[in-house]
Amino acid sequence: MDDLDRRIRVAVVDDDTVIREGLPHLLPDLHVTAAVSSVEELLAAPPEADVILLDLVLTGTGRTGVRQGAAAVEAVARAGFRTLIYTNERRREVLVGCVAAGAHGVVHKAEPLATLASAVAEVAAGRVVITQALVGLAELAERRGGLASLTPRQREILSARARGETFRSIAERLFISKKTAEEHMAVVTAKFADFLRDHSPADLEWELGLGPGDLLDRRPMS
Amino acid sequence: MAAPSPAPVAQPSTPHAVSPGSRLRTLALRYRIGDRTGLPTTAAGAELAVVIAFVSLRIGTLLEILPAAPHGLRQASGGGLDAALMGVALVESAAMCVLAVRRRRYPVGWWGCVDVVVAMAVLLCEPWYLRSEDWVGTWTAWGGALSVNAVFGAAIGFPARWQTVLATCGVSVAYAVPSLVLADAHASTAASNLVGYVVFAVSARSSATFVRRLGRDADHARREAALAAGQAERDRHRLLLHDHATILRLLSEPGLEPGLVEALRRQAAAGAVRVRNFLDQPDGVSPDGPEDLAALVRRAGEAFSDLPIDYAVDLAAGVVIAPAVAVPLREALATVLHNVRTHAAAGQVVVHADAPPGLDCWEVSVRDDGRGFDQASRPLGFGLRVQVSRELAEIGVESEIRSVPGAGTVVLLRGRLDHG
Repeated sequence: MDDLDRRIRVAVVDDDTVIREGLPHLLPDLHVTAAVSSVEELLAAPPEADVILLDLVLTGTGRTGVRQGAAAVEAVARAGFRTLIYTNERRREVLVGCVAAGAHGVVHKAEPLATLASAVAEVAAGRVVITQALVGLAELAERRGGLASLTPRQREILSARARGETFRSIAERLFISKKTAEEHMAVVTAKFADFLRDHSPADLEWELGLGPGDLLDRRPMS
Repeated sequence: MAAPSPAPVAQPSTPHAVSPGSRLRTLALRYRIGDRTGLPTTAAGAELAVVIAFVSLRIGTLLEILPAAPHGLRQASGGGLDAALMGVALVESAAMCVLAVRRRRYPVGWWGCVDVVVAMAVLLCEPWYLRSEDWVGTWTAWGGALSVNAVFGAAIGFPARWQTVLATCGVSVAYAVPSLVLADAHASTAASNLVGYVVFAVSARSSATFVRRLGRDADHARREAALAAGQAERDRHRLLLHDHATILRLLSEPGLEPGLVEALRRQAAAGAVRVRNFLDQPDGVSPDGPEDLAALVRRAGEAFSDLPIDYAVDLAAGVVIAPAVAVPLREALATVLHNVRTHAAAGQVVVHADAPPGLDCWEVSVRDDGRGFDQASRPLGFGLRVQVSRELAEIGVESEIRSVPGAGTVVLLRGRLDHG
């Protein structure tokens, strides 16, 4: 098997030409198998891909009638792909809606490329990647009893991550390895993603004790 | 019982205390300079400030003219004309002042034109009956002072810039013509005085325009703040009522399992306490009242939208912060975020607020992943040392600052829950 085959296969869905054309050059360790501007194009000829890198807004060029937001995530997930949201969107109600619709991770476009590469690897490995805003929401879910199966150590690490503490700092403080801390957090994010998928919007707001409309009453772009 | 303090009155012996009318006296007493209330910082207050400047300058000018008037009347070849002009100027000025005070704005339109025309008439007439040595640079030639005053009025009061320019040009021409016509005129001094008209007009108009704009902007900011406060209050109501509406709806459904009913009753009891506390707050959320910790933290960060801040403050929703703590806490958080903005070069800032279960306290942390600093070799700056640590310690809030070079900084704030 050559080097090319060992690389993670990524399909990019983004209406931004620079992203579509630029990512293969910026992240040479990834094998970009397709770069299309809509979910419809992707599903018309499904590529070989371990991860779909999906932008949330796909009407930037003025197109209408294409799926985007949670509807796009849902369509890609239904086709059996693992989806990593690659977006500038920071509203947690939108991000929660996309994870609930089947996304396996969220990375902001403002993050360094190394973070994107790492997130792609995590999602390809079957794990879930969430942003800091969603980590805070995970802590809220845990405190309100929504993540009852977490171990005390996992709760401890979730609490630290919600406060922005780095894995290195957590590891030093708890006398564990950085890798162990990351693995604990991976379990937490997976359970949180399941929690989001298993609850209706109204249930989520009730479980998390949030006001109506704080999360999902305003459906994400579709 | 202490004797009642005397009511404030204008002191006649004060050199500059002039009382042209009861309305002006009322205004003067109401908006004394240095008074705690002062002029209102509104568009109307700004207009009033402009009026006060005009009226006081006009009255001051007339008071300066009066001592020189007898001498002028004796020396002038046309004493009758001088007296008549002075009478017209006095009556017209008094009318202008009264109108300005009554309307609380400079009387534009015909009155403004009359003011300028009277000044021009005096300037044109004076050289023909005054001695040449009295005409320039003396108070005997009182037309100069009156005309400067008229230019000031046109500059601050006329709505359009071209009107001010026209009035200034008119007065300048009226002043310049005698210099050109009369052989013994002090041409050089007159030319210098002409420059004064332009300088006066430009500076007065730009100052008045700026003061008025400040007033309008202040009114606009108040309206925006009122709208934002109203929206925040509605959101707060929605957040409070949402959970309770759901509890009530569930309780109203028939055939609930006994275990669920018991859980709902417990939540209903807790909800009743929350509603009671809410109703006991007389004015809701206000800068001077108790504040919700989550809302307070978010509000503290509003001015730092340029920072990559992620908020995790839902766990602090419902935690009430007393007014005595809320203001210093908000200021301390602003100081911390300002430090992050100035020094950290952070890629991520996490602001977290919580009231951990089982502990009788609330916690707020601000953590950045910026460049950090060596606490052993570099003492804290004034902001963190005084505005955060010392100020918060005085109100019983603990603060802790940890920083590692290259690994960011975290500021932890911890205070006791207010059960009052």
